[in-house]
Amino acid sequence: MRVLAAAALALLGSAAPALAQGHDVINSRFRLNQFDWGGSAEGNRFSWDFDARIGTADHRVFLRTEGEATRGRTKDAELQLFYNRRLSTFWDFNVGWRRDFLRGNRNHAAIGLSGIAPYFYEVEATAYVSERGIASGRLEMSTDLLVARQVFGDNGPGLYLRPRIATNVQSGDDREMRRFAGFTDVRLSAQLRYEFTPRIAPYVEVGWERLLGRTATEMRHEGDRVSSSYAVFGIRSLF
Amino acid sequence: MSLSRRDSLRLAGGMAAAGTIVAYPGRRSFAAADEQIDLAVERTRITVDGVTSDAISIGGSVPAPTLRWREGQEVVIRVVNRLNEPTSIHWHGLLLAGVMDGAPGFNGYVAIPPGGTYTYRFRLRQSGTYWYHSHSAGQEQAGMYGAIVIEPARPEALTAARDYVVFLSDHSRESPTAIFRNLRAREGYYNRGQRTFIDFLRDSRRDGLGATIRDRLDWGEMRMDPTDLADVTGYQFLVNGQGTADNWTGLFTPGERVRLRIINGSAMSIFDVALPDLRMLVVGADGMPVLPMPVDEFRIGIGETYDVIVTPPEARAYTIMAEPVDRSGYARATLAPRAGMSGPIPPLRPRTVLTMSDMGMAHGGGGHAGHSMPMGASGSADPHAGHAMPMGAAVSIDPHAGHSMAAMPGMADGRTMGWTSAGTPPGKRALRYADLRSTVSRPSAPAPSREILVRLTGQMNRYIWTIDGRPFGMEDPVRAREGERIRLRFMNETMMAHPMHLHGMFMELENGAGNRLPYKHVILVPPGSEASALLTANEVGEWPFHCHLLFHMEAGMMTRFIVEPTRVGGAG
Amino acid sequence: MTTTTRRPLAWGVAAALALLAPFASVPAAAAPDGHGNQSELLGVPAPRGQGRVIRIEMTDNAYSVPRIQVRAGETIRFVAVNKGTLLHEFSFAPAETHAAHRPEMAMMMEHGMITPERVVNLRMAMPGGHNMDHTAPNTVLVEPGRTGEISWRFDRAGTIEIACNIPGHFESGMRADLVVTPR
Repeated sequence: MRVLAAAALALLGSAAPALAQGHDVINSRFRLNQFDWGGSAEGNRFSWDFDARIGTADHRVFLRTEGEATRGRTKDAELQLFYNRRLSTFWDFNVGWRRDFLRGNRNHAAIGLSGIAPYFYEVEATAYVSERGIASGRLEMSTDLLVARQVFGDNGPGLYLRPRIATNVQSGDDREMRRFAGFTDVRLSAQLRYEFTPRIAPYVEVGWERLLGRTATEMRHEGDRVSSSYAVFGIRSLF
Repeated sequence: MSLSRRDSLRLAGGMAAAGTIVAYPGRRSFAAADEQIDLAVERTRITVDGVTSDAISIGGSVPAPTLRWREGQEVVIRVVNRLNEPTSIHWHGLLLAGVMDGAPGFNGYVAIPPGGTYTYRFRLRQSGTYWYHSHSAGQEQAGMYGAIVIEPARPEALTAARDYVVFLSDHSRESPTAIFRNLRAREGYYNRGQRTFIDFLRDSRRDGLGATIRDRLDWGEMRMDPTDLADVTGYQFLVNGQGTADNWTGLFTPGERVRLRIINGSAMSIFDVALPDLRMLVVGADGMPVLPMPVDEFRIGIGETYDVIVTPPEARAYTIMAEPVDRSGYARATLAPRAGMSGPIPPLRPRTVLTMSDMGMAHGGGGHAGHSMPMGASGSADPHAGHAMPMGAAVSIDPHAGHSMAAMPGMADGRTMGWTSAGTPPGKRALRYADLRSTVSRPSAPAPSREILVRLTGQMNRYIWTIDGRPFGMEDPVRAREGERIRLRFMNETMMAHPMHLHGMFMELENGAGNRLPYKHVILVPPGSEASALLTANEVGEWPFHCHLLFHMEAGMMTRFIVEPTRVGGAG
Repeated sequence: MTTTTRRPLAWGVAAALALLAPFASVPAAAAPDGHGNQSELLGVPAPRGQGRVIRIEMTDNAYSVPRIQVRAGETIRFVAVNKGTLLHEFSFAPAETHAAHRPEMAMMMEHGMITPERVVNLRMAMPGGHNMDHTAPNTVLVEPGRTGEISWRFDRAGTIEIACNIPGHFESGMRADLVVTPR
């Protein structure tokens, strides 16, 4: 943990301001990535994913929160705070902190990369170390496929299909959080979004999630579901 | 037209270049001036096609009043700032002492503070069509622009019975700050022309599935979008401050020669301009006279001006059409024998899709005269700086590959392919840079002693725009000695066209016109292409050199062009 | 250039083909025979140096006279003096013929056969076996400071046009009327 923090600080130090002088404008962006209601195999479902960003083109601070509630009970909730620095045209470096709520509360140090891979895949890969000393990793990938624009003429709103995959892996068992060594879960989803403007974009989404490895085994023992699918509708918005 | 310097201006320029802040002795009596004018800068509301929005005016109107002067006159302009922020006025294309150029932070010129007054004073050393605008962030696009018309000291060979300014601009109801924020918020925020799955099906039918997939993969691999022609949409396009419904009208009597002084004073819009039923005779470019060239249409970059003469033969209305390259709308005006008439409005032309050859990477022998550039020619740390062409290859502007009749083969299924394809109707002729020939023949112009590479670079996904990979504020200035003859070689490593504007001096565009290279103050460098210009650094100072797409300039695409005096404070 | 003898305005056909070359491939030999074009030009070429002298001065971009009048039956020796700084053409033909000729002159300029001041080459072989040619007897290109001549025997009355078809010159007003009155 301490090593990580030191490494992060060292990186921060080397990240001498490249652009951030005078001429680079500071601006902000608020993005509601997911805000949806619907049903899953477990019952009704609500989820959110919101992020806020402030900074120059080179140096930014990110705040992100995401979570999910099923049958009115919050199942998962987390908050991440990152310093984000431009590494190259398409890649950013992130370092920061994550806090999980519920079950047990956990703090993690985080370090990772985010960016746009060839063929416009948005990729986020982050490594964490929790306060219990358990290392974990998360990979998220998604892309926006523009299906049609012709619905209301060439310059009209766009209909996008957004496939997404997310998976988590960890180094050891965290019984309190009910996550065990190895791959813990995977989620696949497809979102069909109708973007009137970037500010107003309603969507429908279907997804499938499954616990993996020992996590799945342990949870099955406890009588919990290990896989579930869902269908939701929601709104995405960019400010 | 005289390009020589005036001694009185030399001292100020020299001092400014030497880093001294020159307080212009502006308290001189006006009596000595030939022309004097007071212009107030203030917030206002303008109504375009019945919709009212915020604007900033100079001299009480948008566009600002046309300043009609005469070559050789000394003019005095007193600018009063009634805004609550600093402002400035830059005289676009005029040859003058640096401190009079009006770009804050350059040549010792300081922005005019709120409530302050600045007195500009300079002698007109040229004639032609120019313009003036704010050089302070966000103000120009809010309406601070107007035309300058300087009559030549000697009468012109070709006279016209009517003389109209056709000032093209784009007006957004969004504030410039909001637009910039959106551009940084998401790549392609305003792009409404991206290719869809339906386009994919259509292209597959036309080009075959394999070729279509290959094309999509090529763009995907580069993480670039071939439909990215204009960063901002949502504009109303104006002619002389009037919308398409307002329909600005210029009157004529049939058979008369009408001179149109077409100025692109927009923030972000490159236009294709045509009068569908009239041939235009191009007689001036960027204010400087060129050998008359008959064409049906031309593409005009931001900051460029073209003077054309038309001779409407019949007593009917003729439409002036200006379509932005992304075809997100149009500006129109009318020439008519009497007010209240309007001519037919042709359907918008197809919007082009960039091709791999616009990126300097023609597949399957496009036959391009590609000069391959040595990779990483100018030591950028980031091989991906310049979000286009990671390999740094560029295609030179082929004088024969203009968007003329040759554009037709590039048209397919109502979409045109490639930056140069303007959708020019069959049999019509579009102006190319190669057609511009100065009226001044300079057979003995010296060869350049040095070449300066100007790489146009950027990262679209982050909306960072730079020159040589460096944003303004961290720029590596271009330096030349007074009197030095140099070549500027522009290498556009991005997938957008950049209208590159140099203050204070004319560039001589190397367009193949031999001893008649046209003088330009803006050179529109197409995506993935090269262009070059010669220049005699005869104006001492520290001049802005930037992309005239205002949000590109804002995002950092600007540098300093420093002309060092041979002798500081030299003989006056 | 065989078509030249058959059709005085041979540049029309040859260069038009060159112009169309990117779009269609028509062999030069398929050019139509130009009958009746001598009547279009109101006469026939006369031996060089013959005829009554009519002097025309050319400047940038104008002829010294707006109108030239001759009588049918006369042989005229047109002496076109270029007092300008640019290359100029002295050509007479019906206005429509000139209008069709102008894009071809633009092609010649683009292909470097002529520059704004000079004649480089009046014939050029184009890819695909086409030729561009500017050697017809009813036209002459005159460089700055030089003089060009055409002798012509007029045998029919009518009004045709004198024009300089170099890009932009006609459009700038470089034209005049050529009126042939009946005998």
